[in-house]
Amino acid sequence: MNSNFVRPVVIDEPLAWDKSTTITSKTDAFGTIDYVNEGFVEVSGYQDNELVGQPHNIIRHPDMPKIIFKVLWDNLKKGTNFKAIVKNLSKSGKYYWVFATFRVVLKENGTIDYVYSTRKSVDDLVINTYISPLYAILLEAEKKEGIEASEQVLNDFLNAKNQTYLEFIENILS
Amino acid sequence: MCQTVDFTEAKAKHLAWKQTIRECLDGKTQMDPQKIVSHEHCDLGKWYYAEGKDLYGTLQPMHIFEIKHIKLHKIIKDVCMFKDMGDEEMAEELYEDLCATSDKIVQLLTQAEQLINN
Repeated sequence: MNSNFVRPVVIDEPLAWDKSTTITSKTDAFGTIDYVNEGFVEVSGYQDNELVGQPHNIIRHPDMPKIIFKVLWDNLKKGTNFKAIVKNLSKSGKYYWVFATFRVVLKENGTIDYVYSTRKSVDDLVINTYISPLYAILLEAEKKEGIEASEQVLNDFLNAKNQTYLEFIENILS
Repeated sequence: MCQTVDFTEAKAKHLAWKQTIRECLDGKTQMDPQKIVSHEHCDLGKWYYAEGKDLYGTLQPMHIFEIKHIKLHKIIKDVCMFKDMGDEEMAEELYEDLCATSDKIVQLLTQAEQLINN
């Protein structure tokens, strides 16, 4: 991360943003931002030149359990497109929830070339009913015993539903 | 007056490019690969790096313009890549992003023009 980058102070308030906005970014295999669309600039509050070359976790909210990103990258590395619900941190410190679709483009040798992610707003009811409670439990497990513990909690949760994370997300959004 | 002509031409060249991309997506034309990959070799880039930057590069809108223009060419390249891959949906999604950045570029050129002429 750019040494000049100062992580914003978290403000526990939702960001007011135009919910019709589509937020797009392109990153490399390491999650480094190649470019973002105008929607990303408007919603995140960062300018293009503050984002390009930075790791995508510049907008990661501390309430996000790491295990969700592990599941995401495990799928992308296999060449599988993925979907996730993510709490992002704007430059103002306020948060915004998004439903993100990740498309991976592979090199000829099967490794990741680029990842394109398209994010749209997600209904508050979905967040409050399903996602916030789950992520809070995962985060708590992670803080106490690390990512292995949160992975176990997530697997137990999904096994009880007989669903993958992707199926769970698609189900609650349908 | 010469400065006004510069910006009018720059915007016209840029908008012509956007139309070319649309026609490419619609299968009506092919694009010059050299122009696709380089923000320095399109007509707007040639104008900017030949004279625009020296004349107006210190203006804030032109500084942002350069960043947006580089981004525009990255998006153009990806629109074409997804089109070639047969992923029309992603090509169209990125075309929307391209249009938004294009609108921003025209806005910035207009702001720069107004700063110079006022």
